[in-house]
Amino acid sequence: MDDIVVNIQHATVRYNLAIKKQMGLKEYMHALLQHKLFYQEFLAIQDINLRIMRGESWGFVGKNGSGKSTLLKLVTGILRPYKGTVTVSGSVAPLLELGAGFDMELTGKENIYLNGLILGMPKAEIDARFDEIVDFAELEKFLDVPVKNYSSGMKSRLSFSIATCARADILIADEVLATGDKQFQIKCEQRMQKMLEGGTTLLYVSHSPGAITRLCQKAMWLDHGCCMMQGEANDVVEAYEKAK
Amino acid sequence: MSRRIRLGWDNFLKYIPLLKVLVERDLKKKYRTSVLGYIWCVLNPLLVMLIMTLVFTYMFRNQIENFPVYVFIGRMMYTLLSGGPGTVMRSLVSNGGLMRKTRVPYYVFPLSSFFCVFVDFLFNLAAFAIVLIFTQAKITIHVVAFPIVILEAMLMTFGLSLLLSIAHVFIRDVGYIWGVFCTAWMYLSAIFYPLSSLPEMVQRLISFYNPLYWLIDQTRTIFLLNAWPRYGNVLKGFGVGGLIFILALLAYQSSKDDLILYV
Repeated sequence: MDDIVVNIQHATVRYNLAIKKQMGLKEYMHALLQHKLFYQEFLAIQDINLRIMRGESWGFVGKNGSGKSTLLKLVTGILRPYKGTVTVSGSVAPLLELGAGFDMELTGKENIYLNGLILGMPKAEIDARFDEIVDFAELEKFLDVPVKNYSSGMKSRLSFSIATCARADILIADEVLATGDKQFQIKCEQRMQKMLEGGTTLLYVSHSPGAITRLCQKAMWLDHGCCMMQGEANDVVEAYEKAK
Repeated sequence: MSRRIRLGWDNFLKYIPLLKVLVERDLKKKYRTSVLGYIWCVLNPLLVMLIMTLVFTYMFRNQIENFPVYVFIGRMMYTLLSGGPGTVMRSLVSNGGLMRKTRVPYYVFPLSSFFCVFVDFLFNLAAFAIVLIFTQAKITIHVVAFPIVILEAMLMTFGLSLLLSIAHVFIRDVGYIWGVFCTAWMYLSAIFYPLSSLPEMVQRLISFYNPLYWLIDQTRTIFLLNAWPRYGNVLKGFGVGGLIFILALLAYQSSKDDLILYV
């Protein structure tokens, strides 16, 4: 069956640390004259190969700064590979940071529309799913409250609820359940489980080995931007835990 | 090539609802916390005009006929061309969080910010209408040429806005440079003095090379002289506006993959 939804071949992502730093005109000219501008480069991920089939669930493990989030941004299309190729077929709902698409000044209701549209949902679809989103986030009473007054748990519930109601082909979740309480985490895992049964592809980053093995069939272990191991989730997580 | 343009266009249509929400957001945030809210959009230009009229009539004793309209036109165009890009310029950097964490075409941010500037301009027009009525200015058929002048102004404002927002991502100093530049620009655009009060050499330079002055001059010709704007000025306005607009599109096209690394 030829149902590859994500195909990453020899992908390398390069950040330019010197440029990423905020620079004024004076420093810029100075650096330019001294040829220091393109000096410090940093390979966030190096030569990664990954092939994900439709309906698979992949977990990504590794220490902080090992390149997990960069890899997810590559799949989302936010970053482009410096070398190699990335092809993704199907719609992607990224959940890279809690409240990433929120405007803190706006109310919960306004943010549902803002965030949904950012995720690429048509307005009619947001209208249709509105109640479902609110129900799942358990925020009926707080819809007209500005999001800046929400607790981080409330924000995470709303974020997760919108992203999962977007019904994208590929759901990308980066360490998003860390702030919710146990009960909500279970609810979220159940929902992801259900989406997987419905044919959604899941890419999931977590520092909790339990969550990875529960949700994911496959896993990849990253270290300093390199792939240490990929394969069955249980094996990879076990090897990673041992190495720690 | 044409396929790419089609795809880009389809993508653009898909993001129109998002644009709408972003514009609403910016407008709401701007006025939600003030008591008078949107009334300020009309009140503010009127009050500034009033002060300028008082200052220049009683302190500097100018001889310009219908000075309120004269100064309002100058200020309205100046606010659009200097304040517009000044506001839009920051849209990419201030939405950096969204750019890094979600996948939306980056142009939606300058574009939505530009629409807010446009809405502000519409409020300015409403205030302008009030001034025209109060000063009993003569309105003639020549008013039909005014939308053409507005179109020129919008072309220039949008082009400048997009160019500056890209430049601002790479070099933040652009914000300060623009501020200083605009101060000079204001004094070189005959907003509150007659152009004829300047040395002839300077007069010629301004009327030849200052696009802002072309816009002001065309508008004044329509509303104060009750005549058609000069053909050459209209042509020059569209020429320069179109040029800036195309330059901005090219700059966006060639830099859009790098923006994310610098915001």
